[in-house]
Amino acid sequence: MDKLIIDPTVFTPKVILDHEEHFMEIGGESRPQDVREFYHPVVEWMNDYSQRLLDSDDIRDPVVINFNFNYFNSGSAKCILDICKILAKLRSREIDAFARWHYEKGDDDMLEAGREIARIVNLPFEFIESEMR
Amino acid sequence: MRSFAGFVSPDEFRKSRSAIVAKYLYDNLRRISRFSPTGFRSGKKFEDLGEKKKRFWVEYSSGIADKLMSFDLFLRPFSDYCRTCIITDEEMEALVSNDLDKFARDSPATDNNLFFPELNHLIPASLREAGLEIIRQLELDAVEESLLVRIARVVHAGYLSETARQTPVSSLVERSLMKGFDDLSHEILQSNIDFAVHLPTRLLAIGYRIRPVRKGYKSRVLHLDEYEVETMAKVEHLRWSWEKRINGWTYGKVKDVRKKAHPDLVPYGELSENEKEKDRALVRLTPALLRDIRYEAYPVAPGKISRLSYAVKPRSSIHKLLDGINELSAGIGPLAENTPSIRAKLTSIDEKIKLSISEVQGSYNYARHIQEAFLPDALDIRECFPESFILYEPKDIISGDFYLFNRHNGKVVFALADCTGHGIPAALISTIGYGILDQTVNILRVTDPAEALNNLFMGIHRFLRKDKAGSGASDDMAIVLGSFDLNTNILSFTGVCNMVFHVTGGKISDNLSGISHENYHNNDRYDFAVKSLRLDPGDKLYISSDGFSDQFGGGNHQRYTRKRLREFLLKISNNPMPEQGDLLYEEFERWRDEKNRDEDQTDDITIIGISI
Repeated sequence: MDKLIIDPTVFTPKVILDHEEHFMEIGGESRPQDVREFYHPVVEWMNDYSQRLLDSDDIRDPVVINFNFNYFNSGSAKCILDICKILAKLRSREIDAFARWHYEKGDDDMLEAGREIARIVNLPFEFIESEMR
Repeated sequence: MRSFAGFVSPDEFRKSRSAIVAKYLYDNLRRISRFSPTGFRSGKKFEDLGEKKKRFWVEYSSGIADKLMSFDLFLRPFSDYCRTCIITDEEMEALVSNDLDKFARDSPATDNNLFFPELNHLIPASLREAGLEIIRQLELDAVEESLLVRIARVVHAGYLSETARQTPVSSLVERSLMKGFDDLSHEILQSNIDFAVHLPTRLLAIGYRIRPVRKGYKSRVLHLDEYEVETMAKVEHLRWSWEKRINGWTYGKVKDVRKKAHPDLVPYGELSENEKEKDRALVRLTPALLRDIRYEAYPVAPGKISRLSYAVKPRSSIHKLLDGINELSAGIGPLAENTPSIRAKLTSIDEKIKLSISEVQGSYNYARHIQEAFLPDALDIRECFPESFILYEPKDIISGDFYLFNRHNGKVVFALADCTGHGIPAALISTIGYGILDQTVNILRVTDPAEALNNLFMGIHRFLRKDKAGSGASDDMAIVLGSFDLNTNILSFTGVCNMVFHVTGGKISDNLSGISHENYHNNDRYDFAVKSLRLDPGDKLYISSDGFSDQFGGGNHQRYTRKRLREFLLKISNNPMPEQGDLLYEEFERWRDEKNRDEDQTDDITIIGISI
């Protein structure tokens, strides 16, 4: 299994998926022309990673994904949902997993968007306010 | 049929004006045929023609009003000044081909391909002689007539004043408005006035209207880029050409004042660079002119002028790409000057790219045309809600947003949907969505919002995901669907994302739309929560997709946010409804282009405003 690191562009977010450090983050702006194409490797990686966790019998850390968006379009929203569902599945297998939703101070829309996703999936969300960039 | 106060209807025209216009047309054509090839020759005066020969001219001219009306051009009597609008070369071509279909067989000409273009070019001048001006319907609310004389005075005073040097400006303008049309110095004056009164037209061509600067406010400064200057220069040339033609001028190889022939009466593209530069220099004065009359230009939503023939088409990202390519090839060109093989390759690649881009753009434009054809137009919407506006701005020519209005049995059913993504994929889903919703609301007459929405989502589900296990249609569309009872003033609505705001008693509600309904999907049925709201007279209702609030800008790459949108809506909610649409667009432009950052449009934008 390899790490998946994608540098941000004007239309696509930064992705850091690191199984060795157990660190996962997706953030920035997400409005790719072809949402499926962009998120396909991300979802694949998440599936592999969660399979690995299920296969191993020694998991101590909670599994945390960090979302740190300042914009995502509605197509990306569906992919974010899919990623959350993969983690929700881990919870159903009694692995502690949750999402950390970072939003800029005062960005009510982004906070609300996170809450909405949280309401839909069976995954706890931790909301973290950050200072203005 | 639409009619406007003061306009001459086609019937009226046929009855009382067409005979005299026939004579003027004939006389004008006969006059220019003496020195210019028109495919026509006649030695006889109109009065001396036999009945049979006269018949063509009378029949031809009796159809003029109808023909012009099909291009949204209307006839109106003028009193002192003939303000006939510009007619584009493309419109002239269409008018000519219209004639060739109808009159080619009965024409008295030896060469129809020369004859009909000449004839059509003489129509505005002949109408003028009959006391009629041609008015373009789309310009009507953009051009305030009382302002025109004022602009004319300023133009005289400051910019084109050679002829006005010894005479007080005001009296000159007034005299020129009163006097006959026969002396030449008068024609120059007239020309200056014509230049001035078409100021709003030139600005409309690049997407601006004008209004007085409010007292105590700093006016917006208009910055024209080269593309805008070029567009306005083209329009200015067209204006000048028509002004000449209306005064009896026609094309001639050399300028001849007596014959009224001018070599520059050709399309803009055929002018010398020197002549084009004169037009550009004139239009570059526009910001200064606006300042002098204490007016400012403000942007109009491209959707509003998409049917205006001479206006810049909405600037898509494809268009910007083309600009980039042009710049690039202009830059590389000189570098490859000395290597013919590279230069040849460069030219060929350049052409291929431009061709591909123009094909893509053409197909987008046609797709937009289809989309415009099925969406309700402004009149349909006003039939449902007389006091309303809709701001509908696709990100890239076609939109993933759509809306629907239907009035039936004392109920108005309306919807605003935003399909996932933008561009082609979103437009495809919006087409399916519109089709299903149209069927549900307009044919099956479903008025219950939850029922209608259930129908829509089940339909989309059936179309797009044949399998049952799919995650549902929720990810394809955000929508607000409402049903307003005109007797009880009760609105029931259901919303999946998007935004709904209600303004009453000087206060604006929070967003009343619901969230995604993914959890409620079970057993082949969606359960939507329906909310009820009593709307009192004077209340306003706003429905919006997320394109406006997600727009990046503010000089700092910030999203506009729902909070700002909510506050802005409250701020403008007492203005007349149509004006609110304009104000929203202006606010969007201001945000997008703050500190000249020129951010791209983030997403498709739709906002509907309704006043009860």
